[in-house]
Amino acid sequence: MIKSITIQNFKATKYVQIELGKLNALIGANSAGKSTILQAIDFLINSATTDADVWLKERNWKLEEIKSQIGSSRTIAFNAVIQLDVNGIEKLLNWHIEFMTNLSEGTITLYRESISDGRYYPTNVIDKDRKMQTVLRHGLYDYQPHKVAFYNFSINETRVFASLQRSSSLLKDIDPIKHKEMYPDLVRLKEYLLNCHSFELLSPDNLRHSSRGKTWDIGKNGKKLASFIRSMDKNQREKLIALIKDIIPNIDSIDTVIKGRPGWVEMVLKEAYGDNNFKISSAHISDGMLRIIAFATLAQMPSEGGLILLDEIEDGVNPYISEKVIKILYDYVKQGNRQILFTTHSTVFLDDVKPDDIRLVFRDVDGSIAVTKAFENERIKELLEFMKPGEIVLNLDQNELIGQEDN
Amino acid sequence: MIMVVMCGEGSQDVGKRDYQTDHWIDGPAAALFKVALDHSHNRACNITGINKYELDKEISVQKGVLKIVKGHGIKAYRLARYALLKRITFAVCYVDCDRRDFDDLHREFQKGFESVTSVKGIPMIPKTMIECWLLADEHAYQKLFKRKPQNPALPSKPEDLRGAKSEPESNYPKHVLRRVISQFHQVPDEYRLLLAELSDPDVLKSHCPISYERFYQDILVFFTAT
Repeated sequence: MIKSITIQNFKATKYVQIELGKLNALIGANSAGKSTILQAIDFLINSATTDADVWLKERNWKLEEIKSQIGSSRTIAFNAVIQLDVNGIEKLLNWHIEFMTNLSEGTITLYRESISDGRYYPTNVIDKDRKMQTVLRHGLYDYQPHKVAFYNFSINETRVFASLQRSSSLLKDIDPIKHKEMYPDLVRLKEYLLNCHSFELLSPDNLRHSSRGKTWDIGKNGKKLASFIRSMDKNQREKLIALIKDIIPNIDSIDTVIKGRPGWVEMVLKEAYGDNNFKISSAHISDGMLRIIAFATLAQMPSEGGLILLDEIEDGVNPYISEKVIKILYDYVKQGNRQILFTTHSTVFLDDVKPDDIRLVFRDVDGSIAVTKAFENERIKELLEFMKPGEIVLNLDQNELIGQEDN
Repeated sequence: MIMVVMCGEGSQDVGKRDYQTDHWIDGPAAALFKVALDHSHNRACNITGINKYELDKEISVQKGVLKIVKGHGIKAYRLARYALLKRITFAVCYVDCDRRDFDDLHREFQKGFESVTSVKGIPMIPKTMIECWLLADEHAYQKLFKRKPQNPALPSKPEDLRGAKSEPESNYPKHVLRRVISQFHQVPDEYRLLLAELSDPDVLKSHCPISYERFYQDILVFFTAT
C-alpha cells in the first residue's frame, strides 16, 4: 500500500505531501486542489504504463496546464513510499520520479527516476587506474539523463547502461513475466501500479458506455462497467445484486445484452415494485444509480492491492444512502490490502468517515496546494465527542479546521 | 399522561430499547424522573427513550449551531430537535457530572435546549454520577431489604464521593454502591432501578442539595409553567 505521496510542481502544487491510510477522504473548498491531487496521482500511476504526452492527450490537456505556475522550476516531481510484499518479504520501496518540461517545445521527458528499498547493492566500476572494482550503490534502480543503473538479482550485480530520452517511467518497460527473476521489486511495483485505478472521471456517460470483451475491472473511468458485469461469474453477480439491493431494495437484477455491433454489451437494470417489473436500459438508468452500481461493482473486482481514486463520490447519490455507500468503501479496503482516495463536498457522506481518514486540502498564502489532517487540533478533538465529522466541517471555517485559530 | 423524550449515556442510567421493538425499558434515571414528576406535580409520564448513538444518527447538527451551543449543549440541542420531530414538548437529557463543573454543565445543557424554543428541556446531571443519588435514601434500602444499610452505612454527603475507579475499595460511587448492597448479599445490577423507584425526592433533595435539588427545581418550574 502507498504510505505517502509527495507531489511537486503539478498544477497548483509546489510541494505537498499526503500520508495515506486505507480509506482517505479529501475535503476542502471549491478549487482547493482536491481533484488536482487525484490527477497528479493518476499521472504518477500511469507513468508506469503510459507516456506522459499520451496521458495528456487522453485528457485533452496541454503541457502548460499541468506544469505549476508557482516558482520557476521546470520539473514535475513525485515521491511515493510504497509498502509491498516482494517474494514474501515486506519491503518499503521509495519511488522517486521527475519529469522535465519544455513549454516552448511542448515536450515532457523523464529526467530522473530511482527506486530504492533503502539497501545498498554491489556495482562493478572501473577506477582511475582502469581496474574493475566493486562498490556499493544505494537503491535498486536509478535513471539519470545519460545513464541508467539496474540491480539485477539474477547476477547479483548492478548494471549501468546509457539512457535514452523518454516520457514515461522505466517501469513501463518492465515485463512482469520476463523480468521476474532479474528485477523482482520492480516487477512487484509494476504489478501493484497495474492494480491502481483512477475513477476520478467516473461520469455517467462513461458508465453508460457499451463495451466489449472479457475484463476484470470496470476500466479507465468506468467505461467497461457493462463488460465487467458480463464477465462476472454467478457468485460475483449474486454478491453484486445483494449489495445493490441493500442500498436500493427495488432493484431486482442487473443483466447485460448484446446491442448494436457484435460483441458490444450494454447494461440492463430490472426493477420490481410488487407485481410490476420494469426493464431499464443503460441509456435511461439515472446518473446516481449508475454510480451506485459502479461502487458496488468495485467490491467484485478480483485484484489484490492497489489504490482506487474517486472524485466527488456523492455526485447524484441521495444522501439518505450515504452511510451504506461509505460502508461499501470501507468493506472494499478491508479486503485484499486495498486503498481508496476519494474527494467529497458532502458533509453527510463525511459523517460516516472516521476522523483520522479525513484530509483537508486548502490553498496556502502563495496559492499552492496544502494538505493536512483535518481533525488534529484540540478544539476539534473535543468537538468529536459530541459531533460527527461532517457536522464539524459544516460548522467550522477553514482556519478553524486547520487549527490556525489556536495560534 | 405527559410524553417525555429522554436521552442518557447508556442502559445503566436512562435505560434501553427492548430488542427489536419500540418498547423502552426504564433505567434508574428514567425511574427517578418519573418519581420526581409524580412527587412535584402528581403526574405520570410516558418516556420515549433514545440512546446517544441513535440520537447522533437521527439528528444532525445544522450549520451555525456552534455559534449558539457548545459541549454537552450539542447533545441537548439534538434531543430538543428529536423531541420536535416526535412532536413531544418535554425532553430530559441525562449526563454524569463526573469531575466537571456542575453549573457550567447545566448552563451548556440549558443553552442547547433553548436553541429549540418549542421544546422544554430539563438537564439531569447527578453530581458525580447516578449512584450518588441511589446512595442518598436509606429508607429505599429498608423497603427493599427490610433493614437500613449499616455496614457500611450510606454516606452523609453522597455528592462528595470521589475515588479511583481502578481501586475497588475507593470511594468511587459505583464501588460504594456495590459495597453497600453486598451487605445484603446482593449485587447492584438488579437493584438500581428498584432503589430509584423507591427513593423519596424530599430525602434526595436534602442529601444531594446541589444536583438533585436543581433537577427537582427544574421539574417544578417547567411543568408548572404548562
